[in-house]
Amino acid sequence: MKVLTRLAVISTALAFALVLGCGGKSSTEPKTDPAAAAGEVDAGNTALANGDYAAANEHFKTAIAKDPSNAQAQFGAAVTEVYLLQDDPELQSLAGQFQLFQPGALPVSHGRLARRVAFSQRVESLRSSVVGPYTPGRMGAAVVRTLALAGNEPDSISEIQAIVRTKVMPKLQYAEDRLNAAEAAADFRMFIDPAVTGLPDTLEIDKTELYLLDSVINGVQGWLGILTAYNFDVENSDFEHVNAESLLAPGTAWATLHPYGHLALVQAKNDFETVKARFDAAAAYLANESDDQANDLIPQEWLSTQDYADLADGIDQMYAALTGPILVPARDANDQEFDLQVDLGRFLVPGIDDLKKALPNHTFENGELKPVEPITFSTESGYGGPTVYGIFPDMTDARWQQLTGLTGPPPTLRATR
Amino acid sequence: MAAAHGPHGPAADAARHALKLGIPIAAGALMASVSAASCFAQAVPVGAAAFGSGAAPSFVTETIVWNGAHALPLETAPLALLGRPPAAFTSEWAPLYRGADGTRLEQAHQDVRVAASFGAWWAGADLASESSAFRGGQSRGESQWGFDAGAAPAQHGAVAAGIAQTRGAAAIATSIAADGRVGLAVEGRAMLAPAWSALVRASATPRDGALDVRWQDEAIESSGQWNEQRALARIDASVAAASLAATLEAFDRVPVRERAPADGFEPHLTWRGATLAASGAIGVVEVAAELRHGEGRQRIDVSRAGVPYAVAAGPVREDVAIASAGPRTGRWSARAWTGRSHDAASGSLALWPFDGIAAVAGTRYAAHTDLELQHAGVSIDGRAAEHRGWDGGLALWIVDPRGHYESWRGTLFALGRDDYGSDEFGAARAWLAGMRLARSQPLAWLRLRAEWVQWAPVAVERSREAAVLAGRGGGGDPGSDAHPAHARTWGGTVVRVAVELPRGSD
Repeated sequence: MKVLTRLAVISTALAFALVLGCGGKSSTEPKTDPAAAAGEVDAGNTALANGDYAAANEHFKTAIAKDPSNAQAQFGAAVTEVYLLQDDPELQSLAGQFQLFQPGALPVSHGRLARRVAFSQRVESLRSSVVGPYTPGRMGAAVVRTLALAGNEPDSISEIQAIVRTKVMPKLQYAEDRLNAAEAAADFRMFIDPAVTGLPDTLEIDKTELYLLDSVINGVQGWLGILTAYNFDVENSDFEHVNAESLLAPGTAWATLHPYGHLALVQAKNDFETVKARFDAAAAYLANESDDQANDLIPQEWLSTQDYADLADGIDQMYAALTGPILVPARDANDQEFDLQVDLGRFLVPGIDDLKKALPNHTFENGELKPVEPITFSTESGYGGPTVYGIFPDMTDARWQQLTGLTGPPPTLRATR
Repeated sequence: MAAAHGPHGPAADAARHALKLGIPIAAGALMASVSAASCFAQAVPVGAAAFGSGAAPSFVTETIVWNGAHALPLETAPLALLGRPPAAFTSEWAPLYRGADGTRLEQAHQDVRVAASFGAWWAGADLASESSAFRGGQSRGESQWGFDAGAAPAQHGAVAAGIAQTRGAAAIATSIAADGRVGLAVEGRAMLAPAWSALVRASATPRDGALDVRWQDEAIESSGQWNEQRALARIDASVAAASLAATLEAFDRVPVRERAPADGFEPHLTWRGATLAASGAIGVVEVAAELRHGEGRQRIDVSRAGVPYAVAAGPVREDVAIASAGPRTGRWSARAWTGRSHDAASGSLALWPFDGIAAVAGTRYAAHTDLELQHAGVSIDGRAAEHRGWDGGLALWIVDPRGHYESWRGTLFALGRDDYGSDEFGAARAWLAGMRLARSQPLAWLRLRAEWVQWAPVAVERSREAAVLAGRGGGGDPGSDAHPAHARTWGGTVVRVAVELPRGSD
């Protein structure tokens, strides 16, 4: 979870910001024209310098069509696709809602001050997510918040899912494909002129940056895969009369996997595993660089920072949690530390068909969900019990009670107070 | 001075003066990149601010200190020891700016000089201590950044020896920095022909400094070592009752890379200047005119493990024309000048030393600034009394700064841009009044002198555009509080005290 949280961090920092481009037109021309491709790359860089990402994107795509082996064109197409997605007004309008469960999303406001505030909050959120102590509340925070958001604003989550599936995910996949093509080159090194960046000096981008961007994109894809896997649509789009009790009623389709949900979750797991693979590749490439680091966008010295160490540790933990049970330190309601087994991969594969069945036994008061105290999980057929479908392999009702502090007394006694 | 222009004035001018006044810490770069680049509320022009001590020779600086610059140090001008009093002590304190926002610019200088002659031969020594504080940033609100250039006083000194004869003079000086680096200066003056003389001077002086940079809750302390290399050649000629002089000068700041610490900064400067001067008598009036031009490029890199994370660089240029006149036998003279000083720079700040998460995206803050200071002034000034008495002067200086800045956050490998901000500043002209008052007073065998220089804004002419900007609280950013509706005012102060043991007393 810490893992996922950290992944969210990275994702987010770039995440909503990045995104990829819509399916590029695959070249059908049999002959390549490297010179013309190089010219298109130059034109793309010029367009970038002028802030015209759409034109730059077109130039890079044209360059790829003329010479698919042009790694700079592949890189440029990937990056500009992300920019175009970032600048998409429709996505920006949703970003604020997304931010509710994914720190680091782009702020909605176009106001400078508001953006500053949002950025500052994002940074702090990212920082605390990475270096803060682990607590159970953080585990699966994204999922829980997604549920909360879905319950509170079902129209929003449905809209987000639709846009993510139809607009964001294809572009992300396009960007990843472009990056994979650039990564396949024997070597990749490009120098970005100050005229493009507006910075005082030339910047060098090499495979370190490619791998890191690839890692981040995979992180974003993983989160978005989870986000879109479940059905949060309200029947007949009756948003006026929806409440938690009606949504969580047994047998409803709400919070169940979409028909494609299982596949989305499998892909999400694969994406998260790729996060580590690419991150490790970036670190290895960076560590082995022997050239002057003065102009490197990400220099070797970054590997010596505590933030890097924390990030790498978080990604390692994420990977471990995805691939098998791990022990993570937790704090119970009395702030006492104990170890908790977590097998995060079980959430993704085989997945949980109906999230409603993963909830503890509960009741509703004024339409709001209230856990029954002491907290217990149903083990009747089809329900996950206290292990929540094996995500917490050694969890029992007693441990949940210790963890949450929801230890009783029984509702009847409580009612007499 | 800061009142000279609108909302950005105080910090901008503080920065400018800090550099021009030669703070012994070539630091502003950071300030440049961090402040302007981060585009937080207080935009400080990168170019004006970025370069600490080795700020190129500046007429603006000369004006502020009222030509009362300390005696030329032996480490750069060994011939200055000729004719010196046997012993002298000078102390100067200049609180130039202290803003409510925490910006602070202050410097102090003390030096002790001794000299002795043995026939045609001279020997002497200097010991100087310089301290400065150049502090700025913002600690409230959502953006927290800052810089602190300066800190502990820096001591440097030199010993020199020279010979003076009728047809010329020559001197050599050497200095040793605290870290063991040796400086060297040579200077010679010769009569080339009747009424023609030449002067040449060259020096290499070791310097060091410190710079603290803070971003959010992370602070990095950097140190730097560099050499200042100066060269000057001048030809003087007398034609009839007129004197002519032509001077070429070069000033380079070269960082000492082999000594680069883990966290260090490297200041660079390349400056070339030329001066043409003429003087003569018209009846009972002594008149003089001078034209100066200089231009160069400055840069500073702040690095960790040799990898720059903060950079500011840009051109600098200055032009000025000066005319003066006064009675040949009087103690006072009038002076008028007009000039233009231009600084431009681009700066960037990479966040990887401060925030490793942001490093994944290669985030850079960036800023461009371009500042031109047009100015003109008149003054009337009295020469210092030989032994005892008051002297002083009055000046009126019109300062018209104009420029613009833009800043943004370079997202995703610095190729994208967001958090963009830009502004024009300087749509206001300031009238500054200056006053100098000094007293020379003998005491026993000593000659004492105290001097006070005070500058204060007396009027600010705001253009209609500036008034609109101030009234709406900002240029182009209604949500920003970067532009208070009124410009802050301040008065730069210089206090100077000197004690000399006059020649003939030894």
